[in-house]
Amino acid sequence: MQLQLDIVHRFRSRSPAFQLRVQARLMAGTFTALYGPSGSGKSTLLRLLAGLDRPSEGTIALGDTRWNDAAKHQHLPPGKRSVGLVFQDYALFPNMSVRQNLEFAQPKSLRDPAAISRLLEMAGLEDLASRRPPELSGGQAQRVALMRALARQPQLLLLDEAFAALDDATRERMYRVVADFHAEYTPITIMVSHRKDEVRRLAERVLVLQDGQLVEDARVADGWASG
Amino acid sequence: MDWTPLLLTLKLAVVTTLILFVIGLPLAWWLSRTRFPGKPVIEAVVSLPLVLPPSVLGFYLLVAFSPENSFGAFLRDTFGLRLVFSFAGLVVASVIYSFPFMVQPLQAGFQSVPRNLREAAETLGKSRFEILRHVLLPNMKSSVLTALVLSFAHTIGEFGVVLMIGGSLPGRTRVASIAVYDEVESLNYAAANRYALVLLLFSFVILVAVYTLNRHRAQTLF
Repeated sequence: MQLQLDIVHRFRSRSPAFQLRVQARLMAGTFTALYGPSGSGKSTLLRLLAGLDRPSEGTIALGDTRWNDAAKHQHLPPGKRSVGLVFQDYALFPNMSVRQNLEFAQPKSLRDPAAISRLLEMAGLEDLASRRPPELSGGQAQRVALMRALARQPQLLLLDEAFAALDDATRERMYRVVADFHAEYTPITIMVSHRKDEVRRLAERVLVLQDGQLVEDARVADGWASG
Repeated sequence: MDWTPLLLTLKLAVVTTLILFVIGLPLAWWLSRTRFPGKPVIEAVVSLPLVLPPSVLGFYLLVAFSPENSFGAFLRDTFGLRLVFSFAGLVVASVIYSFPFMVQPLQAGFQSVPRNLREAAETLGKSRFEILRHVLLPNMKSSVLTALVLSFAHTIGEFGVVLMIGGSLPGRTRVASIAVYDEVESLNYAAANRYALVLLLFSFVILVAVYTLNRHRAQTLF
């Protein structure tokens, strides 16, 4: 199973006009980081992969399933993509408790209260299970958002600065949670990050974006940014 | 005191509000999301009853529903419906007249729910109905309550449209606001006052209940 993308996405509303152009192949089980300055198109790329936006040109495919084909106006809706997306601003449902947020994320075929309890325990959220998102700190909300994405056991895990609001100790704990999940379920994981140490800690491969262009595609093990 | 006009008013308001909610909810959802170029025209049509004199709206509905004209004749011949001087006619007229009071608060409510909540639910594989039921409606309860109460209260207070389309047939179209008018016309101020007082108290209690509920909701959520 591999994710293939060859896309161009234009923003007519941005001034000056902005164009995102990415061509890449990502194998199942690879952990890839998207690295680059703000406004380089990292979050946009995640939205395109999640199906929340449609590319202006090109195709996105997972295995034999074509998710997007702009020429044929083909677009697979987000819910049919087996994607877990951690939003930068968490996007937790304020009307549901922490536990209910995770339960809501579980597909009907995977309904398992014990699995939810395990996820809560892994993230150190057991004592917060009955709280609602407005009662959580930024770091707590970020952990819930991450576990909600994992509850779906997606084939494509998309992390949009998913560790940004965490303190050092909690960040290290969540690194381990994500790394364990990645090792157990071998999804294609793509993580947006501004931190080189985070990229080196988690990712095997790094795609560097600048002004919407893919300017570097490197293996972290080859010593990316270690100098 | 004859309670029939008050009960008829209540029945009209309940039926109208329910129908408005069923029609208004999908329309408000669509209006909150669409980029359709003709959206301002549709919004203007929805809002027209806000600025149109009730007698004008009532006049056009009377003309349209009259069996003497093609549309009214079509309704009578095809569905056996006679909308002029009937309770069914009052309901249809009330639905049209109170349409903006249902659609506008709901549309504002949908727009107030952060877009990323809907998007998060979409990425979790939820259907439109599930998103509506579990994400959108629970996070716009105040707007739903406002829409229901405004539509209900506006229907209770109708006069011009109801008079034009329904007249004053006791037990069929003589709602409370018409009864007040009739009693005043007959110089029977005591009876008019009783109807008016009940309407006043009823409206006041509803509004107090709504404000109390909204306050309680705000306190429990945040």
